Amino acid sequence: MKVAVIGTSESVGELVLKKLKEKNHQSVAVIKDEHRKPDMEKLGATEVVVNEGDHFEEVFAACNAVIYIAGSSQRTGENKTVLIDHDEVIDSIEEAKKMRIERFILMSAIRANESENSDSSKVGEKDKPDERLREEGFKYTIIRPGHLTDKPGKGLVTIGESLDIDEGEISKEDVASVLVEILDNHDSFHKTFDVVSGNVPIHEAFYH
Amino acid sequence: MDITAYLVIGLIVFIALLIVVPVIFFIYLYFKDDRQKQHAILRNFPVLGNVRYITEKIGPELRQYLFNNDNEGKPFSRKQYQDVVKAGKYKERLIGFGSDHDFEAEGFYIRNTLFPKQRDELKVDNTEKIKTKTYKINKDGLFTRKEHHEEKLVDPYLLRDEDAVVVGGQTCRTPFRVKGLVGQSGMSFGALGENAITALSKGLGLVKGTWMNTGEGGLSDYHLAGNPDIIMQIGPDLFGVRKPSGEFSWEEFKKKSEMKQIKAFELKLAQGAKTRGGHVEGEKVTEEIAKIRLVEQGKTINSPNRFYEFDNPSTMFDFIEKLRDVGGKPVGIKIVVGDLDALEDMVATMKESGKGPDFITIDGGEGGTGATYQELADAVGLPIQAALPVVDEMLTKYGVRDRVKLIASGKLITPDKVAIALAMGADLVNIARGFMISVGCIMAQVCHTNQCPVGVATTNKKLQEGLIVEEKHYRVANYVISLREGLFNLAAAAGLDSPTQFKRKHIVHKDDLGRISPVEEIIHAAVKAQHHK
Repeated sequence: MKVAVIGTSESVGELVLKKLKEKNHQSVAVIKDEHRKPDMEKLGATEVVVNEGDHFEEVFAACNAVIYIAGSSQRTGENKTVLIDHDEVIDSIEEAKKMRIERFILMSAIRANESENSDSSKVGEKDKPDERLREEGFKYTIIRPGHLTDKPGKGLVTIGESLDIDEGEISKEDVASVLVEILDNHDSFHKTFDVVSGNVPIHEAFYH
Repeated sequence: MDITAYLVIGLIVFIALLIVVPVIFFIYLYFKDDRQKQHAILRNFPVLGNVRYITEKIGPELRQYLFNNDNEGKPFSRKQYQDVVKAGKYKERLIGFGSDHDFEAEGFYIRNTLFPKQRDELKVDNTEKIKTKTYKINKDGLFTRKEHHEEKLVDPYLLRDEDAVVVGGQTCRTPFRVKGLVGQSGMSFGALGENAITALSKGLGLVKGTWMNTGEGGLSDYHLAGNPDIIMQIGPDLFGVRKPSGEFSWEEFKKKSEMKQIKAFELKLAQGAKTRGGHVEGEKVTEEIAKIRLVEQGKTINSPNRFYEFDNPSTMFDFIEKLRDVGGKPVGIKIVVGDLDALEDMVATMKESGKGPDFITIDGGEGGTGATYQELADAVGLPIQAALPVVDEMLTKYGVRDRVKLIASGKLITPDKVAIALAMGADLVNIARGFMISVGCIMAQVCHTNQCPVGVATTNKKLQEGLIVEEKHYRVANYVISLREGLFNLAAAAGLDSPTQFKRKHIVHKDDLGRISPVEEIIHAAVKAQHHK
């Protein structure tokens, strides 16, 4: 499968590129900065595209799936994970739809649906991309990891539709494994999962 | 007599003993001190005079723990020591509420730019994460600190492939490519125990992009334990590459140069701590040491002050040519800069003959781990901040700078010190004592006694039980990564995308009156001083 990976400036995205290569998928890394190109190639990206604005078309034309890692970037500031640029997510959803890509995996923050019963407007903004995916008829999966750590991956997780996981954490490596593992897993289509470190092997966790 | 009487008598005897015994002991001491003929103070003030000796004995510890402030203390202040320990334990260099650095004192500063580089503009290779372990504090109380060790995937902060420093690129069949700017300076097995060497080897092997210098004590299995890149040092005593008769053994050298882990050789002309040959007592030459160094077991070794194989630049270069020819690997020399005329003679010979070393390790006069003679350690050789720019300039003047890499050493144990050395002309930096601290050194300054209380600078098995290789090797790894990360931080602040680009113009010297001057002033002053010799 050829997968466009958006959000490779952070460790999760870097690890996704590596895992894709390990699993013999092809990958297109979409980056915002020319400087990172050699890194992406080294990490195993088949192609690297520098994206200066909203032009995802060329990238998406040849891909069958998108893995979008929404996270804080340098532009949003290290401690402001809630300020992910949801417009950018929406843009890539639009482009993916135009190019008829069916599979869309979005890694989003875990408490994105809190706004249903909270009045935090900032968190509320994050709901929009999630809803758009549902509406547009993608074979989507939304992965909402617990607190991300730099520990090495254990390959074991606990998943749920809405876990009570205030304390839950998961290593970035495990999140990357999850994102790649579920690429062609039909059981995961049209679903949102909360994922934290647990005791079920990742390759089993997402099957009924 | 009934039981009460016995008890009363017992009590009286007990009290009598309590008083009588100390009194007798006091009288004994009084006469012992009064009659001895060695110490005047004890003859004149028996017993009381001992206070002087006791306080003198525990003085260093008292100062180190209680009275020195954080910026005092030599060779390293408590602050510098803690910086290294924290980097190793927590991989952490953050501080709060400003620096303890003495900004009024003279020193070098890095010129920052108005518009620093962004993190993703840096030319860093973080593609291979490293699995290490760091400590995390749960609770820091007055009497206890609860912390736990946890695994972590961390960025290695290597240089990009195109920025890698290549030693011997034009001269050797197998040049040494190194993707990090700091490595471990020469520390011999024997000076350091097997546990310390093993921990260093494993830590350095884990982080990659660095090197381990064996010191002149030969190559041991402990150096190879973690499979790091190795620079094998060869001293005038030729340990590990000698015939039983004491001459250089080309056969042994060839054997060593065929080892994959050995990336380069270094001829040690001098080192900061001792600008002459070493001395090893016969009792320390165990069977193992004898085998590694290729010497006779149990026999005292007095190393020659210089190599018998050469005694001037041109014969040395011929020897280097032959080493490179046989081994195919880079050959460097380690020097301490003193007389600039001798140095200039060597550099001129480099230019005329087209020969020379692939790298020059410049050890500052302040350098030196283990044991040495006070007179040599304190006053012989120029400190690194004077020596380095002078050598860099001289090599440039003769047009041979591009043929040789400079490795600097001398108390460069934190990223800022390393960056300043790079700006002064170093291509790479060697660290010894920083690494000793990372494997547990507490600066007890007893390296020469084989009684190191933390089992680092000792071959004593019992003392080495304190040093757990598995735990300490992570500290070594964290320390290296922390240094490399710090270098990238400083590069970004100076507007550079890689620390390899530090130049003289990026640093400035400030004197104690606040006047600033460029590095070139040091060079002018050094040249002037040489003229007045």
